[in-house]
Amino acid sequence: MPITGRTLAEAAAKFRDHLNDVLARTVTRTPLVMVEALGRFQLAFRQGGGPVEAMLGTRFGRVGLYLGQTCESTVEGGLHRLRTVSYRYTLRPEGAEDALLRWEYEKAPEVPHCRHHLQGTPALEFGRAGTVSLNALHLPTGFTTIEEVLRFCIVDLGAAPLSEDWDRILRESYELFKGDFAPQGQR
Amino acid sequence: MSPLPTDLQKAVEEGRLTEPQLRALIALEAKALDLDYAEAVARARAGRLPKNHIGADLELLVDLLPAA
Repeated sequence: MPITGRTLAEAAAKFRDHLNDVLARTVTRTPLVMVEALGRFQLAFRQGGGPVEAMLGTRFGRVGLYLGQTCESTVEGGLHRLRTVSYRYTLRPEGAEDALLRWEYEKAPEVPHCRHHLQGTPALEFGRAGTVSLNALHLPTGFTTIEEVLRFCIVDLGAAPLSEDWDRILRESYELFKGDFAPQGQR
Repeated sequence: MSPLPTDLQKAVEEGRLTEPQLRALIALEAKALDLDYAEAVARARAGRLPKNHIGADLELLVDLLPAA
């Protein structure tokens, strides 16, 4: 099931519906909302039009999860195929001002740091140089999938999965994404 | 953040924004961060917005705008 459509909106709706199905069977029933503008679209958790976090119960207390992506399309054989422009996935402990962890991708950053990176509030010990906030660095990552972030929430943070077969759902969605959803050169 | 005007909320729910509506949504999210539109766009492009979900969302919305 490649993520293509006769229009950008059709392809984007397929992507949204697939992710919302995965979310509803793994960590949250909060839906991603699609907004198209100027030939691109954004997917994010929204309520009443504004951005929201999905609150997860974890072994560390309540944590807010934000997922967002901006995509565009290329036209191949008359069909629109999605291409990721940027993503932001954040985890923020309830009551904290800033996100503890932020996975980010920027297709064309203004400064030449790693396009796929992790940032956050943890302090890193740099020996005699002292500590440096992870927010001051762009720790390299590969293309981080939403499925991997959801797996982290369940396995490492202890968020209660919403179905018994959450592992299979995430594995299959991950394989589908790697095989069909991810545009060439964006993985 | 402040509730969206009814027509803007309806456009978001329908999944399609005009450029003025997109700019209005960015301005409202910027206001939630005590920023005006121009400052929010500039800070989004420089990666200097607050590190919370509204800042993250603003950065993605700015990516919908034509390149500067």
